[in-house]
Amino acid sequence: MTGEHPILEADGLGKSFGRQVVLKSAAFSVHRGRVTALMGRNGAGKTTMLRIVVGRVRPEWGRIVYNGRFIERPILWKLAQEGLMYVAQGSALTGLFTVRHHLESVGQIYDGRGRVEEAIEQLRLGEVLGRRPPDISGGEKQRVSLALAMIRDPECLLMDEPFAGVAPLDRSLIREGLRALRGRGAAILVTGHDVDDLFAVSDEIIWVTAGTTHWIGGPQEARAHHQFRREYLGPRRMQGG
Amino acid sequence: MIRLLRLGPFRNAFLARGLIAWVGIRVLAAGVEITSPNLLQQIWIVGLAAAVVYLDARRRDEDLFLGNLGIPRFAIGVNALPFPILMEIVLR
Repeated sequence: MTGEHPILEADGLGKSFGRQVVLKSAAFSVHRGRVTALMGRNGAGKTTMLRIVVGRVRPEWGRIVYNGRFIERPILWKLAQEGLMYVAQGSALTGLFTVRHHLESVGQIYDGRGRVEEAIEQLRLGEVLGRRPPDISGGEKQRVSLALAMIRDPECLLMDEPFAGVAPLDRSLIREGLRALRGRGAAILVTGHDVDDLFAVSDEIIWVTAGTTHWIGGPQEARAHHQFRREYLGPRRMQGG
Repeated sequence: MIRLLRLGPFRNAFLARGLIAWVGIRVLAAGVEITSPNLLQQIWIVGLAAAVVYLDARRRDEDLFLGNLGIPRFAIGVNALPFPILMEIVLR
């Protein structure tokens, strides 16, 4: 891990849904200019952790620290005013208006109008600008969401499963977009199962399993981590695939 | 709240939904023979219209997009109020 103070830190998070304990004691930290990936099986609690951070789910215990400040009750709109952005699984868009409306709205609020055209070009969104989010593919939605982040220029970006169900060309553009944001100094937290894509963009891997988290290290360390390979990556990647 | 007012298309959409919700609630109220509501009932009708718009926006996850713009959820409901209030005043 880096020695620098994390912009976002979660510690000892616990959450149950009915009798099902999803998180027992989960922790992670996110640093500026780094991409951290939460990896784990379906239902491991990755999405729940993100939703706890932005106040969509209330934890039973645990604490969140953002920008050095303990957040007793996280609320997305307040955190957004402090530089955080959350892209839920599926996308961060509404069905109300066209893609261009969404991009321009973010540019208008965050004085990022000058970055709108740049983001459109970088994420190749020219063809979908006049369409509404329900009429575009999952990969296009993720690209638009990432474009919103590029216009917004957040200090901390939380992105839930950015590569899930996305075509190869979209994956490549999303990877480039995430790297560009990291290059601008954003702290990025992503979740997912898409090992190759997540390893390609991540600086740190955190394994979410059995309600807890294990800091694995970088992608190289993750490939070499015996338990992570055996219990998560599976035999194909154990052979170096 | 002020941020939402700056977003013309979104602001107008919630205003329009407020009006549609009010019409729907008035029709339902007429269905249970509340055709000339008293002041308390009018306040309920206005509040219900705002609540319907708010819950509908939450159902569609629109509050997430607005939340990322630093706009609180309650701004959606507040933004849906003007037309129902205006219409209840006109009908009074």
